[in-house]
Amino acid sequence: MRPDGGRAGGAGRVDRRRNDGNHKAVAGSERGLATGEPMVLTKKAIEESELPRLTDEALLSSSLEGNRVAFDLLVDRYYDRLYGYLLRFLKDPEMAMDLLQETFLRVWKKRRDFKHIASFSTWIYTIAGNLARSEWRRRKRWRMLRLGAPGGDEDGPELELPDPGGRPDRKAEDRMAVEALTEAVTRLPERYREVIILRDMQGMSYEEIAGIVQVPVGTVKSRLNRGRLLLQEKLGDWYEHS
Amino acid sequence: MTGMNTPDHIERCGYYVELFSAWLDRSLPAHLEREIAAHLEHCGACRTRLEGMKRLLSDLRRLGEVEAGPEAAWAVKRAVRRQAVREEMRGILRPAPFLLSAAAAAVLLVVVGTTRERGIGSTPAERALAGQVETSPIQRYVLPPAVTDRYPGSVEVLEDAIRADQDSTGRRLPARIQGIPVRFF
Repeated sequence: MRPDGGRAGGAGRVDRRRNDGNHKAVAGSERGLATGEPMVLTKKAIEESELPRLTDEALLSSSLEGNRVAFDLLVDRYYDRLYGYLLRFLKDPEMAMDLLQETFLRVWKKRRDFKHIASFSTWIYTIAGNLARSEWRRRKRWRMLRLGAPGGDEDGPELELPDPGGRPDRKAEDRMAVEALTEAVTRLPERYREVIILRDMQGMSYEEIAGIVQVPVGTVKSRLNRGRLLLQEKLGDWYEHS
Repeated sequence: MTGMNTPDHIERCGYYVELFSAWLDRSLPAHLEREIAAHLEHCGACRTRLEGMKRLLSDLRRLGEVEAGPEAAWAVKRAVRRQAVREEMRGILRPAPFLLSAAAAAVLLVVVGTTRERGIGSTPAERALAGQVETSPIQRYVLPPAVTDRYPGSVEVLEDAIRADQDSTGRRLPARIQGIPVRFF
């Protein structure tokens, strides 16, 4: 999946040349948005709300020059999706919110280290994913200490799912299915959970996921397949029968 | 498997079930897609399993439709702005100039000490370096609104870190932070 409004917005890149340190306009700069020619951010461009049309990478470059509005736009583009990712990974809204904030703070602090070999989207998801995994492992260690039980990759006690047998009405049944699915996703081993979230909930491509999780595309495919089959098995009452 | 529950057939179902995920992602080669389609035509169990997988993917997609709400964006932006201000303040009040002058002062002290031992008379600079005059006092500033808007509160800074501006004739200009005059109290 491609972040909406990201690369689609134009191929403009920010030329960091300055002629007087005051971001003066360079002739032809505004054509860069449409033609892919080198583009210089000007005060005029900012005033005319050109920023939303810039790519994620161009916005990040602009924020390097102190343009916080550009960074705010990156926040607007990503906060919902990243929150969804973190929430589904951790199943803890409060922690997801904390890590969302931490992700953007890290991006801000490390914005000068961004390498253009990867897309901004891959980069920010990698940061969020690393934070989520660390938090998940921290919790797992804590649970093991508390319970004094060795933990496998699958976490916690046996999954207790709502019983679909009674089926009071369609709405309640749907709610139960969503609850069961949420719980089952959370109980998936980490390596399957993250690819399921990125692919099936966030709609990313295999290649993007491979970049974020840092494994080959083939591994992404096999993890995805395994994860989906595991979910289908665990939730047999909902997803194995007609 | 409508009416075809031979062990061989069950094994083949297992094989095809393993491919459903990739099939739904349209990432299989054409000949495998055809093979699966042909199998599904006469295998009711696999069709059911495939329908279940489709429902699962559809529900997963719905589960992904989460909104953090505008407050979340606002909180993130506020946190980033705070961080940016902290960085700017560190940039303004970075200790480098003071450390450099302190290092220079230390070298001069050694030199002065040596020259004194050799009986050379003291100059104002020597007196300063000997501690008779305070060279780098820590001062408290009151920052004007133009500064406090961006950097809340007053701060303690080293005089030398702020009073770095000089005009072309070498005359010292009033203390400034990023071009905004500040005053001592």
